[in-house]
Amino acid sequence: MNDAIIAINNVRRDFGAVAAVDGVSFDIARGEFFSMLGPSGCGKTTLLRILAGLDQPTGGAVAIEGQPMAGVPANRRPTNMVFQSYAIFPHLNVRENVVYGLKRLKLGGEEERRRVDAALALVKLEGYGERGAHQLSGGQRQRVALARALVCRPKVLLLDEPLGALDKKLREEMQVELRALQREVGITFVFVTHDQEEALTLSDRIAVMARGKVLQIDSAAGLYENPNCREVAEFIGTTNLFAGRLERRGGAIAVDAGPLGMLRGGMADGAEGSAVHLAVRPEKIFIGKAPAGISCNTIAGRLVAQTYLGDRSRYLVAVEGSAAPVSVSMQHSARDGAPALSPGAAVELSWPVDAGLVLTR
Amino acid sequence: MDRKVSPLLIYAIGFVVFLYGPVLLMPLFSFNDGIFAVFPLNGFTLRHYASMAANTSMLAALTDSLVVATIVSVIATAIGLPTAIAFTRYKLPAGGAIAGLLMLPLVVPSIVFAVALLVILVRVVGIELSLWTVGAAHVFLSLPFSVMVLMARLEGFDRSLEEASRDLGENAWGTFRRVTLPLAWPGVISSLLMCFIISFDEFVMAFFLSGTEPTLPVFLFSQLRFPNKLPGVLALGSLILFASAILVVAAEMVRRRGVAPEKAWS
Repeated sequence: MNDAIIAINNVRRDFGAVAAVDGVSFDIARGEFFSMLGPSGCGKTTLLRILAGLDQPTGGAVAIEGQPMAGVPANRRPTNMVFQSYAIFPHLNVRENVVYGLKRLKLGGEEERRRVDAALALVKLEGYGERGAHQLSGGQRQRVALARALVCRPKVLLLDEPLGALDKKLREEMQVELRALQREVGITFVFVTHDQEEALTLSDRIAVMARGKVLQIDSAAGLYENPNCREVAEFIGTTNLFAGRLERRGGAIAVDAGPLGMLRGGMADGAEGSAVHLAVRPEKIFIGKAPAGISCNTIAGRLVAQTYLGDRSRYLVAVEGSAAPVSVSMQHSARDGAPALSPGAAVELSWPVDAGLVLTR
Repeated sequence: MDRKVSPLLIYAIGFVVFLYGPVLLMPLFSFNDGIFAVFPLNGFTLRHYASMAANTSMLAALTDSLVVATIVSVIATAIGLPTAIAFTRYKLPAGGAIAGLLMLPLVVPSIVFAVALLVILVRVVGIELSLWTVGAAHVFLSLPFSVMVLMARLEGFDRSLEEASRDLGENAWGTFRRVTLPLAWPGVISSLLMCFIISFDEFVMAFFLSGTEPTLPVFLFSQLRFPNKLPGVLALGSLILFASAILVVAAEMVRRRGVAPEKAWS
C-alpha cells in the first residue's frame, strides 16, 4: 500500500509468559475506516493502545506517517482516542472537556471557541456546553468523547469499543452517525470491536484477530465470501463445516468426507490427502431438488427444526457423518409450490460446487 | 398506638450516654464554681476560662501543638500524595515490601518507636530534642494514614481519565495538575484533617521527644498533679471539644463530597 498512514511491523506485546499481541504486521491506509475484530483477549485493544502510545510493544515497530513511534509518548502522537469508558473528566463541564486538548496549543480565545463550537456541532451537541459531565446520558457522553478527540484534529482517531456501553437501538443509530462522521471529516478511523455485525457495517477493511494474531484482513464481503481459515469462517456469520481429506482429480477438487461421500469444492492449495474443511454458507444450500443445469453436491438428511423468520426460514438438518446439524437458510420465494416440511421429514440438501470453500487451515 | 418503649431504644440511649456522658461532663464542670470536679455543682462561673486565658504556659503549649500539627499535616500529605500515586499507578519493584514498611507505624506500638527514636536522635545523631523532633516523629506516624486515605481516593476513579489527558496532548505534570489533583482533592483534605488530629492529640512520642517546649497533651499531663489547675484544663478541653466537633462536621461534608464527586463539581 503506497498511501499507508500507519505501518505496523511485527509488533509484539508480552505480558509475562503471555503474548497479548504476537508478531502482527499490516498497514492502514489514509482515510480508511479500519476495524480490528475479535473475541475479548485477542489483543485488539492492546494493539490499539500501542498505536496510541499508552502501551509499549515488547518487539517490532509502529510508524505513523512514516515517523517511527518508538519512544514517542502518547501526548506527542498525532492520534486521539475514544475510550471504552469514554473517560469524560467528571470535574469539568462539556465545553471544558472538549477544550481540554486545545489549551496547550494557546490558540487564543476566538479560535479556540470557534473550534469547540464546530466540534460540538459535528456531534450534534450544540447548546450542551455548560452541562456537567454527570448530567449526560450514555450516548451524549460518547459524543463528548468524540468531539474532545476530533477537536484536536488527529491524523488518526482510535476508538476502543465506543458503542459497547449503549443499548441496541442507540448503538445502531450511532453506527450510522459514526460512518457519516468519518466520511465528513476524512480522518482515518481505527475501530476496535468484538461485534462482527458492527465491524461489517462500519468498516472499509477488517482485521480479524485471535490469540494475538491477525487471521485475515479484508473487506466485509471478502471475509464473508472468502474466509481463509475455519476460525474466520465461523466468526463471521454462520457456516457449515464438513471435515475430510483433500483429493485432486484432474483439475477438480474434492473432499473425501467419509460417510457423506465425495464432496466437490472450489479452489484449494492444500496437499493431496491433507485434512481440510469444506465450508458452505447456510443460504447457499437448497432443500429439495437442486435447480437444473448447475453442478451440485447433494446429501441426505432429516429435518430437526425449522424457525420461521418472515421472508425466509432457518432449517436445522441432521446429517449422518456431520456432528453438528447442517444449518440452511432459505427464502420462502425459492420454495414456492414445494410441500411444507415437518420435523422428522427426510430431506435432500444440495449446493452448487462453487459455493463450497475448501479451507486448509 | 403502641406506647411500649422498644428495648433497643433504651439500649441506644444507654450507649450514647455511656460514650458521650463523660465527655459532656467536661464542659459542665468547666462552668462550675469550684476547684474539684465533683457533684453537687456550686454555681455558674466563667473564671476558669479567665484563668485559662491567663495561663500563658498552657497557651504556649496550645500554640506549639497547633503549629506542629499544621506543619505535620501538610508535610505528611505532601509526601503521602506522590506515595499513593506511586502505589496505585505504577507497578513498583518490591512494592509489597515498601508498603509493608510504610504501614509499620500502624501495628508497632508507638512507645517502641518513641524509645528507638529517642536513642537514635540523642545518642547516635546527636540532635537536641525540640518541637522539630516531635514533628518529625508525627510525620512518620501519620504518613500511613495519609497514604491510605489518598490511595482509597485514587483507586476510586477511572484510570483512563489520566490516559485520556495524556492522549489529548498533556504531559505528566499537566495531567497531575489538571486531572489527578482536582479529582484527588477531597482525599487531600481528608488527609490533612486526619494527620492534623493524629499529631494534635499524640502523647507518647511527644512525651519522649519534646525538649523544653511541651506539646499540649504533654503539658496537660504535667498539670494534672496540681488540683487547682484542673478547672483551667477543663475549660481548654471544652473549647477543643467544640472546635473538633466543627472539624468533624467539616470532614464529613468533605467526605460526602468525595462519595458523590459529580454532584460536588456541578
